[in-house]
Amino acid sequence: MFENIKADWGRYLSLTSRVHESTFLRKFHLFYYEFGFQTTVVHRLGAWARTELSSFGFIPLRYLFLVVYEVLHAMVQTLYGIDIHRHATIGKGLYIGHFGGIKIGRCTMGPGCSVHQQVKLDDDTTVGARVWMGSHAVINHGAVVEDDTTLAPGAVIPACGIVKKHTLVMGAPARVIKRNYDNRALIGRPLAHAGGTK
Amino acid sequence: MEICDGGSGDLLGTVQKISETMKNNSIRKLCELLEKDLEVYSSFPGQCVGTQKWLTALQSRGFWAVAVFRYGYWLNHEAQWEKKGLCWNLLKLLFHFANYVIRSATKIMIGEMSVIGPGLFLSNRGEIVMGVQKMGNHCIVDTRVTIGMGEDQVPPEIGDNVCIESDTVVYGNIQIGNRVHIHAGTVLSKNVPDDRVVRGNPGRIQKNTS
Repeated sequence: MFENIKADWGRYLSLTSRVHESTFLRKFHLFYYEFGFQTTVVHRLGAWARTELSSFGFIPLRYLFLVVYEVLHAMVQTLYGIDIHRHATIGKGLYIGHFGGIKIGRCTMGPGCSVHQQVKLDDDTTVGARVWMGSHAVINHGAVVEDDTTLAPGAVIPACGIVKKHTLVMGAPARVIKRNYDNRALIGRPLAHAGGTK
Repeated sequence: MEICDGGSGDLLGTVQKISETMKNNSIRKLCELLEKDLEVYSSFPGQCVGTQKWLTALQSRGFWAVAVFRYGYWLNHEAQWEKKGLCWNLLKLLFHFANYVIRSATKIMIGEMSVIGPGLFLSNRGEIVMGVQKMGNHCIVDTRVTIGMGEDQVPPEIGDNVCIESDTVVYGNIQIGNRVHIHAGTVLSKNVPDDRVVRGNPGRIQKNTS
């Protein structure tokens, strides 16, 4: 859990350091100022309690954590409008820019993704690594988005659609605009604190 | 709106200092701006006057967000302090707290550095993320709207009397003219001249036929 949270934190730091200098205070600013970070921390807590904590064999502790998670999950959902499904598997280094109307269903997501406001990810979708989803992007159920793709703001990927690697996709329904689009500037340094490089 | 009228005496020295720094009509300007915003809000369900105006101010969540934004803008730019001491920092802290409440209650977020003219109407349903360079007078922004910067980190510039309907994204270093109507579900990232209608994803610019 802590590795994942550290990676998330690194993403936020690297992306906000373009605008602000990352001073000591600014680093802890994230804990109350970035609603997306709080939501991901709550989700990591739930996922950790569900999968890894069970291996201890001490069952009441696990249920305690799950109850705490449910309460925090409901609070975060109503206050910030960010709804991450409890069974969603999300790789480390998730960045949620802004808040409101974000729905991440029961999907699988790779490491180093970026999600913005009003993004809808349906159930049974698969999202690869380092995918940048612009605001108001919608991925319908069963769609597959491969690594290093970029969804422009307002892109709607139809049900069971497939988006190939390194493409830029735009419009509703989504059309391919560029085949070899470099989104490294948008993603920032993925997994900055986890020691991994691209 | 002056805090004290030439009060004499040593005890009032501190109060006088505050009033001197807060003079130059900056508070009056803030109140006039808020009154103009409130006029828009109170005119929508039907004209209301007097105390009814303040009731609409309490009821409409969009106005809360506008009021907090105006207060923050006034604190950063208009309020002429000789040096930013403890009092300014306390007011700033109050702003941060109010901003947090507004964000979680209404999901409206307005960039602190954006310059917005009087008569702004934000939808009471919220879910608006807005950062603009400049915005003119009497603009209407509906629910689930995003206005922000693109890859070049420069937010758009918007003219007077612009109506932006719901589910719209406007982004990038663009300039939108006066009296433009942006329909629901538009994704717009190019310049728009005056008196146009924009619809579609990606947005197409059409002449205003009505």
